[in-house]
Amino acid sequence: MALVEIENLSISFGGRPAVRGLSLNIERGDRFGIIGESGSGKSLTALAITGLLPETAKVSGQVRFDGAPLPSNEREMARLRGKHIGMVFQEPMTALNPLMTIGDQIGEAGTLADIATDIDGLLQEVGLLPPHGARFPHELSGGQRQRAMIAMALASQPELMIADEPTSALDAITQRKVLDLIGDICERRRMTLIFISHDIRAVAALCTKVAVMRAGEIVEQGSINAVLQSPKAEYTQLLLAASRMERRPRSAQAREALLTVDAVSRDYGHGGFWLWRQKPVRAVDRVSFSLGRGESVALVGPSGCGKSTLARMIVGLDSATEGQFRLDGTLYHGRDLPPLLRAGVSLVFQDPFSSFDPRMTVGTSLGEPLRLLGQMTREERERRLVEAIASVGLDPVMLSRYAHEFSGGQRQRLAIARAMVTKPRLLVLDEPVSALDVSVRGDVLNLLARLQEEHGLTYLIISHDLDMVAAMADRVLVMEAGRIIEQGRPNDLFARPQHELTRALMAARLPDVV
Amino acid sequence: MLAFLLRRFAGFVLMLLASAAVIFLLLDLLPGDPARFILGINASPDAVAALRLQMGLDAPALERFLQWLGGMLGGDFGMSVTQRLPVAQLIVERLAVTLPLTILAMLISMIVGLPLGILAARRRGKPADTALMVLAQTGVAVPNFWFGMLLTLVFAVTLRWLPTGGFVPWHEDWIGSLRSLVLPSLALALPQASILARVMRTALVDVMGQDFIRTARAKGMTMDEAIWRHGVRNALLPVLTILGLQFAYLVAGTIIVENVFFLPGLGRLIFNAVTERDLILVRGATMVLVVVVTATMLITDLTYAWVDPRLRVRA
Repeated sequence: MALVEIENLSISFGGRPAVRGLSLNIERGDRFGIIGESGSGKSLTALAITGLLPETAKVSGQVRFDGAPLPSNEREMARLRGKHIGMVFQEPMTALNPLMTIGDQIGEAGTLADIATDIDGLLQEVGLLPPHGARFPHELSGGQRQRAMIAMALASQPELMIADEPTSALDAITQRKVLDLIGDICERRRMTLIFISHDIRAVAALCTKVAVMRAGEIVEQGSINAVLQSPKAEYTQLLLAASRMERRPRSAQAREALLTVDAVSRDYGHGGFWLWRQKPVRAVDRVSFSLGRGESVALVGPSGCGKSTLARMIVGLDSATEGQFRLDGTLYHGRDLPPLLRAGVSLVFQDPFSSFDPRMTVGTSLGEPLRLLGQMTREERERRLVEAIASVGLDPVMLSRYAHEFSGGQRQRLAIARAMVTKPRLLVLDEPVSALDVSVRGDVLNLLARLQEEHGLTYLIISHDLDMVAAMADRVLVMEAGRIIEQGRPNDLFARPQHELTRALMAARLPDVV
Repeated sequence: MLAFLLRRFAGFVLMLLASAAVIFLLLDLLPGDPARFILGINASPDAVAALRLQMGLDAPALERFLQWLGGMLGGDFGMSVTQRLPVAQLIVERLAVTLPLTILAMLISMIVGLPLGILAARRRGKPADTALMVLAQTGVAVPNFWFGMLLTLVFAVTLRWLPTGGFVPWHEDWIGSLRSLVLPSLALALPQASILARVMRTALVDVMGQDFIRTARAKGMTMDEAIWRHGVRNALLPVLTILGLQFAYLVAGTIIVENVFFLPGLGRLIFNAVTERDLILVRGATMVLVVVVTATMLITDLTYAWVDPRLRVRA
């Protein structure tokens, strides 16, 4: 008998279907992956198994756990999940109660399942130490928080673990470690796993079976090898193709420098007043490099290594404590970047959802950087906007719409259009595709490559995605704890990584599918 | 933690010193002679000279400021010109009414407002929520002097359960004192309870959508258990800020209700002192209010740090 049987499950919100006629059997001991993009209904399916769907959801069909239909009584359902199902969510910072210690939160999970919890033992099982139990969530790193979350899910000794995108908020190295940990634990405890992800390679590395979801329906399911090696559904083939990033031909010719970064440091004083001032934290530590005209340079490193701080200073959002920048011969330290030069440097943010003011039309939003260029006639302004939006492959009619009317991929195109509107020479791209669905990443990267060719742009790409970096960059800078520790052409660097961090980054890469 | 406490306390003292300086400057260094101001235009030059001597106005400003500060530390706030009594004694007498009144009003508003806010959040979008929020809206809109008169009419005039006004001193009959504070504190508490209910509801609705509530439910709790064990404490953080502000507002803002109920409170004392140009009394009473408000802010800050570990670390 299967542990979880889903029969003809449909979920809708206000008449709009989100999951349609879904049937699925998960056997004991399976490691079952559910792949899909945002909005495919994969998370809703998991919530339906645990009875955690929002109150506004209309549900039909049946879910059976261990042979019995899910209880309709809220309390019984709560006890069932408390005893038999452990859950790990995507964002470990917000998924933990900020006011309770880790140990208390783990203990509570055990208490709810009537199990005497060995908190220290659980902490050790997930690779933490007993003292971590006395800490609060904000005192742990992202990876440690996710480990704590896993320990909490294990406290009730569940038969089933549901992990919903457990690693997508973590950096590459941590991501791999957490995935391996989940695999080990399932092995050791003979636990059934439902692993929900948009990352086909993570699923391939961890699961034995897989279901591919699209628009609320399962388009294909079966054993992981069968599905990935001979995908039948067109959509699966598309996802597989998108997971392989095409390397672009890059030239290695020496170029005249556009931007020079000269021994730049940034200190953050935090807290303190006068006599009580604490020693400042050095986020960026004497970094020097230069960007040639038309070059694509990638800056890689774990979260907190200072790469975003550096980017903020380059575009003039923050100032260096020491050192200086030289853009096209003009010296500056950060915020003192003159407006006209600033128009030549644009920034594209990671999250296309939060980087648009929801109350502004796209046209107003795109037009804002034009202020840097001084007075401009209405016609000129209009012409620039149309040109920018057309260059990213969208219709100028869309200028009068609002950001929420667009999909993630379209929004990132709009963000690129906003960066292009001042006709810059340097684009700083902060994780430009990591918030996007796999199938649109390729499109956005193609767009960036085309724009670079047409306008002779220089790119500084910040990322921890080595595959993307290998596909896009002429040169890679590896950053750790505020310093650049290694640099080189991607092929050379990845073939012969010298520094420990670079090796760790390489080792954390998930194996290619097929 | 100790560093945190010390720093907050140092901030508190600095704040008091700065306020004292401002109060001193405003009332003492303004153009014109304070003694003449107090006595009025028609006072004889002899009377003005005598008052100047009594107030020590001939000494340099800095010396007088330090003397004033030193006096207050020793409990000497000077003599009231109009009442011919020590300012400290007048203020203590009045605080014995205003402080219990404020605390009672705060307690009532919390006991009524917080549970109703939680209930509304739990029943969000349902009739109970709508009814409660309409009620809260009304509570904010109704002026408290009008509500006070209504209460008097019902409970004092018609039902004769409670006195219509006035105050029985604590040492004579403390039950009587409490009885005379019931209606005024209800009148004061109504708008505060309404605000608290609204803030609590919003904060809790916000918290209910957070991931850690889903985590708590995933661990095996029902929604109500999750709200009770994890939600309320988190939702109390924004409520704390409002509570601090409300207390400060109540201490200084009781004057209208004190007038409606003929209570000899601090608000009335200050009001009379201002109309009678009793500068010494105004200055002393203002300083006391500053101390109360600043201390409230300090306590709010410390409570925050106690509830929220994230604030402790930065210390």
